Amino acid sequence: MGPKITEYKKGEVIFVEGSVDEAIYEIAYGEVGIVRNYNRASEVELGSVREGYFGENGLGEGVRRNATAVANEDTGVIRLDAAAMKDYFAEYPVKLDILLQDVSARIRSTDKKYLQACEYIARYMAAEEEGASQDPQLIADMKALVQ
Amino acid sequence: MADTILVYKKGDIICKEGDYELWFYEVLSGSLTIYTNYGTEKQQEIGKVNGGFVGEMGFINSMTRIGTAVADDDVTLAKIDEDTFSSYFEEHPEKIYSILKCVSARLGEIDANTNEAYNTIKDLLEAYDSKKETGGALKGKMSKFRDVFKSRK
Repeated sequence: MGPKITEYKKGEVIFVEGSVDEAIYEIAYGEVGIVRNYNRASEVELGSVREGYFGENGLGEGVRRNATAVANEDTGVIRLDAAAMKDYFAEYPVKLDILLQDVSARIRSTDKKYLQACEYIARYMAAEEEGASQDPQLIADMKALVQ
Repeated sequence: MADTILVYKKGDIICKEGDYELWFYEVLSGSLTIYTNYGTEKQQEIGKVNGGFVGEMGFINSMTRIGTAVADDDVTLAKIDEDTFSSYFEEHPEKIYSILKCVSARLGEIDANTNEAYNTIKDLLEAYDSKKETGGALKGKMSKFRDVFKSRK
């Protein structure tokens, strides 16, 4: 018997921003949208996932979801909490390596953006402290980064 | 396959920043601190580990060590390398959740830091566009991110 697949209709919510939900999810089929401020005027879709894992930053006691996951179409997901992981990785041991690589890639890519933001702030402060005008290209780059 | 168990005393260096090593450790007892530029004027503490795993990111990504790990007290570690990775987690399936929690925590931390940096940029762009001076609180946040950039150059 394979892992349990939970089905969601288009528009159904898989987990809610702000909730505590100690699990990682694998997509069996369909597509999941990751949305901040879901159903509010300031709603922003951060991205969507059609294969692999999502919700990887939700493990750990008391960690709150920083976005809502919504089915963009009829979708099936496998929810991996502490109890489910043992059997899942016993059945599919290679998936542990795949999942770790997946999370690492996200960490590297997010860290690159973080460092870029820190550099921009450092350059802005340097100009401010020298009493110089801000470089218009720096301002444009900062706006592009955070839009 | 038997685990490789290593014991370190307070002050011992477990791994050095910039080294390329294809293994990581589970911390069985004791605690350690991770530093960048260890032993220099620019030394900065970037984290503490008193359980869970250390060096797993370097192992997974085949990257050099991002910091120097130093024992805070007597530390006992299990060393896991390419040869023992699969068997380690087959023999200790309860540890799978632990290592995933570890990398998940790193991802959560970097996500939160990035959001804070982005919000700081939004605030300073707002001040810039409205031709206002950056206030004390905003300057404080900006300094924090500038220090991060300087420490990682």
